[in-house]
Amino acid sequence: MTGTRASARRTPPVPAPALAASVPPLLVAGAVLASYVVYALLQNSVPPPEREGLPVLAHWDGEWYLDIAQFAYGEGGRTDPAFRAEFFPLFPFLAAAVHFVLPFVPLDVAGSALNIGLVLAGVFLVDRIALSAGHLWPLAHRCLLALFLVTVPNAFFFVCFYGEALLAFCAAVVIWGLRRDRLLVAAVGAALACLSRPVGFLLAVPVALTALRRPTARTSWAAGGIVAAGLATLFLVYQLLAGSPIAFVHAQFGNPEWQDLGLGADGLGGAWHHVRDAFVGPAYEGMGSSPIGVMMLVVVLVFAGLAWRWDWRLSVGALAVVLAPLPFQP
Amino acid sequence: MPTWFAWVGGVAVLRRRPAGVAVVATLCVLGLAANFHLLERFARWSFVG
Repeated sequence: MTGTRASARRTPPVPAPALAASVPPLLVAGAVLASYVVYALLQNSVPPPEREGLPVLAHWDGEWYLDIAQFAYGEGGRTDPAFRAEFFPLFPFLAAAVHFVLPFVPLDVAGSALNIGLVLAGVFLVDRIALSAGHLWPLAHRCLLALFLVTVPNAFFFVCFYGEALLAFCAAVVIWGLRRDRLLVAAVGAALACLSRPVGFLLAVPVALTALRRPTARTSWAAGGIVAAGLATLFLVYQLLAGSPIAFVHAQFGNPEWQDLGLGADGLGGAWHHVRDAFVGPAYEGMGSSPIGVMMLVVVLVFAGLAWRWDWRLSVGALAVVLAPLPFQP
Repeated sequence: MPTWFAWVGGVAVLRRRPAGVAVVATLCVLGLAANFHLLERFARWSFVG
């Protein structure tokens, strides 16, 4: 070992700024999320009014999540349990847990509040990265970043009874863990992501690549074990509650919309359908109907540049999360 | 919609350019308007019309 290296290792780390330094970006993000809730309440008379709480925030696919939170993957509820398995369990289970602890809070309100908390936690983690040694972004830039993260198209889903906020939080945990060399933390984020949404397992890719760079390290094996445990838990939940460890695959391939396309019968066709709906569709079809499609195309171009500009771990992480936008494109 | 974490890299690159901050700020304004528009459409969306 050279003297330079030894002295470098003895250099004390730069102390991280106080947690209070992240308050302004959190206030910015919180204000935007609150504005979505207020705007949703103004629309509250439009959807079916039979549910209590904030029905508009549990609209559309939110009803599936609501049913999972109430009936898991069994009989009952307003949606078909065979198709309900298409939606992953962690978010509705967490929302049900919050509702169980705080029974006076309606289930859909509990889920939306949970999501807002998760998004703010994610913004906090990202802000800590921007504040870490070697970055130290100015406050204005950090506030702008927080604002940006909650205003990208479809970000309003972060306040809805949907699983997107949870996966965003998981992505933040993974990226924070990799940036701070906390591989086990990143692995926990990836494991939770596996339970959150179908594309969540992609967050295991940057964790695995990082672990492979240190194949003999104990933490690398532990990280692999954590991610594997997350996947195993997913399969176990589906086996116990829906009768098949891959019930979500059956549910997706059983979707009539897929079958109408003639793609539902085989895995490759199903995979293409998912990519098209989640990624290509909004970027391409949206261009003909709204400027949102153009914005999503800009997103694609920005991301394409990241692999060239950015740290490889973050690039892979970005690639993982870019594959997971919502298919919703009105 | 977890794609926003990939935007971190985009902002990290853009903020170093002279006009980068203005570009990001403009996208924020457009994005906010888009979200209110989408939220309104979302609230009126129904499988039964």
